[in-house]
Order: sequence, then C-alpha cells, then structure tokens
Amino acid sequence: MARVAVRCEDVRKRFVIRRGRARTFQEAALALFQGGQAFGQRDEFWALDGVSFSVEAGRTLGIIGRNGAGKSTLLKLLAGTMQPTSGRMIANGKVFGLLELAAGFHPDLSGRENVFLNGAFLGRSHADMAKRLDEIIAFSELEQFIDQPVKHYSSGMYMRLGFAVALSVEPDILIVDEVLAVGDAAFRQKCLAALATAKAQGRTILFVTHDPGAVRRFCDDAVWLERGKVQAAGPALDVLRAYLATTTTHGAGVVPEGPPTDPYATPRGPIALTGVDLLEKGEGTQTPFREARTVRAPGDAWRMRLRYSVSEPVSGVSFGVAVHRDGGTYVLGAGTSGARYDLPVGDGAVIVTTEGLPLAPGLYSVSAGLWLDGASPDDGDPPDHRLTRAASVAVETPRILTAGLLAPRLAWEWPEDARIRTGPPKSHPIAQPDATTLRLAHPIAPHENTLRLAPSVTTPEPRMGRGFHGRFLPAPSRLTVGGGEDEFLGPGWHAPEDWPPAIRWTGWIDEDGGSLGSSVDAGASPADPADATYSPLDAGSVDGRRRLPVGTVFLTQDEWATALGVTLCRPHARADDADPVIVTIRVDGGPVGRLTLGAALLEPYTFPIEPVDTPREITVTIEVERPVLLDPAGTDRRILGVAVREVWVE
Amino acid sequence: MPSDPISGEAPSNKGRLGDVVSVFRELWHYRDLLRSLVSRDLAVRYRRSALGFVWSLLNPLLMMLVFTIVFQVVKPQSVRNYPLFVLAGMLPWNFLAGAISGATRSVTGNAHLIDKVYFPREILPLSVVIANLVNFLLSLAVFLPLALLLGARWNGWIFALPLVILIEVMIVTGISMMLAALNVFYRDTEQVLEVALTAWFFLTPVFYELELLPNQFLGIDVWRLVYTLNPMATLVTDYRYVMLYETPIIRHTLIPFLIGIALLGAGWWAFRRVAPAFAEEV
Repeated sequence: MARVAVRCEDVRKRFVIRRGRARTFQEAALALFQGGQAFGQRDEFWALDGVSFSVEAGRTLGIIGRNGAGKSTLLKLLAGTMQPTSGRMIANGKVFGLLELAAGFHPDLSGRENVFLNGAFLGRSHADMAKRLDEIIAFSELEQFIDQPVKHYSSGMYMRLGFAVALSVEPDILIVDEVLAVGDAAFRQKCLAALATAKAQGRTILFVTHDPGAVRRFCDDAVWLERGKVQAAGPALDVLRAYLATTTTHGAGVVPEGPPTDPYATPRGPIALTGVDLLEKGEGTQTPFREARTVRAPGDAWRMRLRYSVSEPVSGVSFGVAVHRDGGTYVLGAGTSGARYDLPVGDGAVIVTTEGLPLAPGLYSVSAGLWLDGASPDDGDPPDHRLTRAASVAVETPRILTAGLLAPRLAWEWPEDARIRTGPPKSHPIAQPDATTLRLAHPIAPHENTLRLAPSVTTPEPRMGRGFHGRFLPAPSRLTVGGGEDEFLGPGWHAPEDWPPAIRWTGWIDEDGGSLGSSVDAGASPADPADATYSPLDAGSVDGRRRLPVGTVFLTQDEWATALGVTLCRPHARADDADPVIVTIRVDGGPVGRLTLGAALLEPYTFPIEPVDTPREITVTIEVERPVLLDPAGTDRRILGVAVREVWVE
Repeated sequence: MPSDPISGEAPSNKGRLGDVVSVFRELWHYRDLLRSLVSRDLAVRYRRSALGFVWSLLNPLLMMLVFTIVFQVVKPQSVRNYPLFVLAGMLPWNFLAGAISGATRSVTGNAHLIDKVYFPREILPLSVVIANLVNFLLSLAVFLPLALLLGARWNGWIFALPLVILIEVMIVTGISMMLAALNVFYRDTEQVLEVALTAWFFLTPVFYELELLPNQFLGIDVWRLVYTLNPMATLVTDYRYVMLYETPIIRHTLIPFLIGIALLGAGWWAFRRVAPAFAEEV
C-alpha cells in the first residue's frame, strides 16, 4: 500500500488583526497566561478556511493561487512554523521548506561555518554535514569563496549556497516556494535539474508558484487556492486550465489578475472596451459570445475581436493589443498603425488578425487598450482605457517542437554524406525523469519485427485529425508509437505534448462511465480525505471518483479496410505478478473488442470493423479499465495504463 | 520522531508535565543546532576584536579597577582584599546581565528564522544563556588561580561552586525564557529591562557587602528583604564564600535554589505556551 506523504484535513487558520496596541503590561501579563489572547477590539481573518488535500509520496504537487489566496500560510503550516487554528496536518517523513534560502546564514561567519549552522537549523548533525560538505561546495560552485564571510557574497552566491545546503539535507518532503524565480538562468536550470533528480528519487515536492509554466512543466498534481479555500485539485494540467480560465472572468468572487492598480482600468472618455474574444478563422462580428479562453496551435493565425461601447460620439480612436506569455513575458504589442477612426454611439468591435504566430506551447493572455483624440500607442501615449488580460489563449501541440518562446516549423538540411539513423528518440531529461529508470528496472521484451513498425501515411490528401489542437498531420491508416519501450498510455510518464501527433492521451474517464475529457470543474470539491478506502487505483481520483486513462487515435479507414489492429501489452509485468490490465477498444464510440493483457510482450490483435465506401477518418479510443500500479508496494503510486506500439486498419 | 513538527507528535504547547520528556527529546535531537548557535555566538562576539576572549575577563577587571578606586579612595571600605571581593561579584553578575539581555532579544532578533524554519524555539534563548555561561566559566578559570595567588583561602566548600553556578543558571534561564517570549508581544520589554537590570545591580551586593544594607529604613528591614527576595544577593555572597572565604553556604542557599526551580519551571512553561504564536507575531 503506497503512502500518503502529506495530508491536510479541513485545515483552518485564523489571523487576528488587532486594532491599537495601547495595551498595558498588566494586560500583557494576563495575556501571557491566557495563551496570547488579546483584549479589546480585533478583526479576524481566515487565511485558510477548510483546506483538505493529500499528496502521495513521490508526487509533485503545485500550489497555485493569486496573492493573498493563502499559499504562504499553507506553506508555513506545512513547514511547522505556524500551527493551524483547527484541522489536522499529517506529514509522513521529514519536512523541509525552502521558504527562504539561506534563512539561517549569519553574515559574519564564513560559507563553510554557515553550511554547518544552516544544516543544524534543518536538524542535521555536524557530522552529517561534514560528510556532505564537498558535495555542497561543488554544487554551489563556491570553492574559492567558501572560507570568506558570507556578507561578502553576492546574492547569487548566497542563493547557490542556500540551495545546495537545502538539497543536501535530503528531506522526504520538500517545500519549494518561488525560489526558482531568482538567480541566473544557468543556476535556475541546475536547480530544476536537481529538483527533477529529487523527484526521481521518490521525494515528495510541494511547489508553490505564480508561474503557471513551472507548474505545467514540473508538477503531477495541483491545488488551486482561492481566498483560503481549495477551488480545484487534481492533475496539474486540468487544475491549471481551470485556474487560467478564471483569470479572465471578472465574475463575483474572482479577483482579476494583472497589476492590482492599473491606472488605465477606468475609461477616461465616453468609450470603453468591453471585452476581447479570440475568433475562429472567418468568424465575424456577429458571432455570439464565446468562451474567453481558446486553444491555438503554434503557427495558427490569431483573430482577436476587441469589443467596445460608445456612449457619445468619439473621434480619433485607435486600438492596441498586447500578448503576454504565462502572465509575464511581453510577447507582442501592436497598435492600429496610425489609423484613427471616428465612432458613433453604440456597441461595436474591431477585429485584428495576425499572420501565423509560431508561438511555443504555453499560456498567453491578451490585453487591449484604446486611445482617443489622435493619441496612439505608436507614439507612446498612455491609453484612455485598458483591459489587462482580457482573454487567455493556450497554445498547445501534441509534441514539443522547440524550446524557448517560438515554435516555428523548421527545415534541417543535412550534408549529402550524412546517413539517417533510426531509433528511439532521446528522452527529455526533465519532462520525463523516470523513463530511463523504468526501462532499466523493468525492461519489456523488445519487439522482434522492427520492419513492421515503420509508420506509413497513406492518406492521399491532407486532412485534419479531429479533436487535436495541433493539426499538423493528416490521419494515417497505420500508426506506430515510438521505438522505445517507454510509450505508455497513462499520465505521469509523458506530458501530453510528448505524445506523437496522431495518438493522444486525452485524460481520464470516470470509472462509472462518465464522459471523456480532461477538464476539472472549477467548483469541484477536492478529493475527500475522509475516504478511508484509499484504493490503490485512486491515483487519478478527482472529487472522490476514480478516473482511468484513455488514449485516442485518429486513423483513416480506406475502402478496402475491414479490420482494426492494435499491438499492445501490459507494461511493467513481473513474474510473480499476474495482475492483468484490461482495456476496451472502441471505434467511433462503439466497442469493437476487450482485451485482458497479462504479459509484458507486445502482441498484435485484430478486430473486425464496418467497411466504408469512401476513405474516412475514424476515432479509435483505448480505454484502460483496469490499470496496474508501477509499484503497488512502494511509494511510486503512478498508474500504468497500457503500452501501445501500433494501431492500424487493414 | 521529534523532528516531525506537523505530525501531531510535536510537543504540544499546553505545558503539561507529560510533555517534559518530549521537550527534552526534541532538544536532544536539535543539540547540534544548540551547539552551532553557541559557537556562532562566541565566534561572532570576538571575531573582529584584537583581544578576543580576553575581553570577557578584562571587562570585569577594568570595572573592578573603577570600583576599587571609587570605593577605596572616595569612601574607604572595610572589606579585606576589596578588588577580589568586587571581581567575585562582577563575574556572576555579568553572566546574568549578559545572558538575560541577550536572550530577551533572541527571538525577536531572529524573526526571519522563526518565520521560515521549524526548530524548537527554546533553542534561541538557551543558546544565548549557554554562550554566556561558557564565557563565565572561562573567566572563572582565569579568576580562581588569580584569587589563590592574591590570598584567597579555600577548603572543601570550593566543591560547592558548581552548585552555586547551577542555581544561577536556573534563575537566568527561567527569566530569559520569560522575557524572550514577552518581548515578542511587547517590545517595551527590552526598554524596561535595561532599567530593571540597573536597579537589580544596585540591589545586589556586587560592590558592597550585603551586611551594609540597613536593618531599619523607613520602618523596613531592607537587609532582610533583599536577602529573602533577591536570590542574586545570596548567590553573589555564596560565590564569595566558596571562592574567597572558606565559609559554608548550606544555610543560605535553599531559598535561591527554590526560587531558581520556580523561575525555570514558570519561564519554560510560559515560553512553550506562547511559542506557537511567535511566527505570527514577530
């Protein structure tokens, strides 16, 4: 039975804001003996109000939320520096918080002395730290400076030493609070790699950040806090989507994100911006209101509609849009290029369409501004009205194409004498730190007939695979997944971006046969911690229901094809473990076969399907009914679905 | 494990007697922190000074010089070997004053730590007390041979010296814990403490003999009052008895001993009771 590393049960934390400190020593003496209770007027503030969640050992949990949502309070409770007002917090293992690196450093002591002092604050003995000293010095790259007083260190050196000490302590549960927001890029990479190693070693990591990108890259699960309550909890990507979807809704109870005091948030003239929509290609102004958050693929053109409302005729109006990435990086800013218009009373909209934007996968927000009386963004004038982050766009693709901000299509030209070499692609070290370990520990019998595995794309004319956000390839009639042994249908192994274009892990299916989909209801309550029957399969449990992995493949069925073939196996089988995986194969929703897989050998299976008159695209779903756990007895509780090698029609 | 602060196994803040064991187990677990903080204190104190540790003896020596000049020249004292007499009082007093004023600031001065890292909060005042104690013991190690050289006479009672020191440590620790906690909630503590320590200094026979206090002053027996209520008065006298005069101390020392136990218990209890709120208040 795998362990829960951290569990919060209905944790509440009250702060008392005292008004006026005109208290006498007499009252003070009384207060001391009454447990710090104050007299007189005071305001209460619930920083956390009934927070419940649990983290399994070995998983990385992201905690997201706006400023004041209670993240820091939660961390302080977890780190033990504060006590909850009510509720319980259980931590199985040694907790250490990177709340502030180098918190215990004394400026007059040398780096070496501070290593021991800081280690002592973290409960490590002198002898222990002595053993790790060389490692710490090497990681922090402070060999020449280690005997200098740390007051002469730069802040970067301080950080490096602090991080090195913190990691060397090897806690079971690591709490990371925004520490990666500082430091130079090279060291940040090093820290991320070190955290990935810690993760691979099975440590539980709680990661608090404002950076949705970091959660997306790094976390398995996420908890979204809003005003001291859990808004959503579950797989990181789902929670993140729910979170980002509301950053644009200015509804009740939600604080709009962005600079808290945007001086241009109030219209200064008789015209106001009322909203920004992302439109599909060709959509016009008469389209009814759409969901503000939209998905685009790299290279898609963006069509943005800026809605406005005019209360009396205005002249010399120009508009501007700005795009930011992950709430930070300024990606694009453009105005109406000197063109100014006079607008009559009423509601209206301007639409701006870009060329294809080769933006890297990420979350983008669109802001809009307007200028009056001939003022213009191009002249650097302040806007007369601005809507910050009025819409958000998720740029997604089934495959990571590039690193960095841009994901353009690339063409590589090799010299003539270069020979093409086939084989499994090298794993991305951070996105999938466990793939290597898994392969070495539990090899799956390699498939002999490698010749069969070459992908063959036989569709004559390019068509789009339905449901894919990244629409690059026409649906093939035969699809081969990877060349390695590490292609599993299940979360936690590969980010969805890492799957090949034509097969996609689409999320979880409710055990009771609920609908497909990966979005978490924003109002969903967190997993019920009181659930005593913590089944080994509830790794993907959201609001108490068990959810199982589903993969979707789009294939083209030709006129002559009458059967669907799949080559798959139960991953990670052991001789002493006869636990079978059960999967259901469906075509366009209708079941065509059910398989019980007991062996870790890739085997082809075929099922008859309805023939068609003209080539058409079919949707094949592979639903895991009964997955296996990677390590039922140990701490790694991720579930393995099924290893898919090949799907085809014949 | 005591290192698990949020498992519910951490020592509760209710100050019950049953927690005493877990308090000490937790402190034991963090003994290296205590050691590091003490050596940090000592290292930092003399790091940039040319004379280093010598100061902890030089300081009372210079004070002794001042008192000797003032009280032998201005108002001659009948005390035999007055410089030794003053020094034997100054050293324990400096330990007390240094430890208490340092410990009072220990929690507030480390607010950044309280907020960020869990460790038993007692460590902070305790480390100050221990650092001052180490200092005191080192200066005694220099003082005792000096005293012998200058004509002090010892008998078996010199072996009672550790007991006297222990009683002072209990008193100092109790008060330090109490004030360290109080200072978190009321920063006036630091200010009041300065005055209080000065007053206490004059009520303690550091540079005069306890017997000089009047038996009759406005109808009050000041001597008896100080002797009973000020444990330091008895203790300073005891230090002199064992280190200078071969006088037995048993008769005098029961009351300071009881006061010491009471202060230690009350101080520790009060500290633990409010320690969980430190992170919110500092």
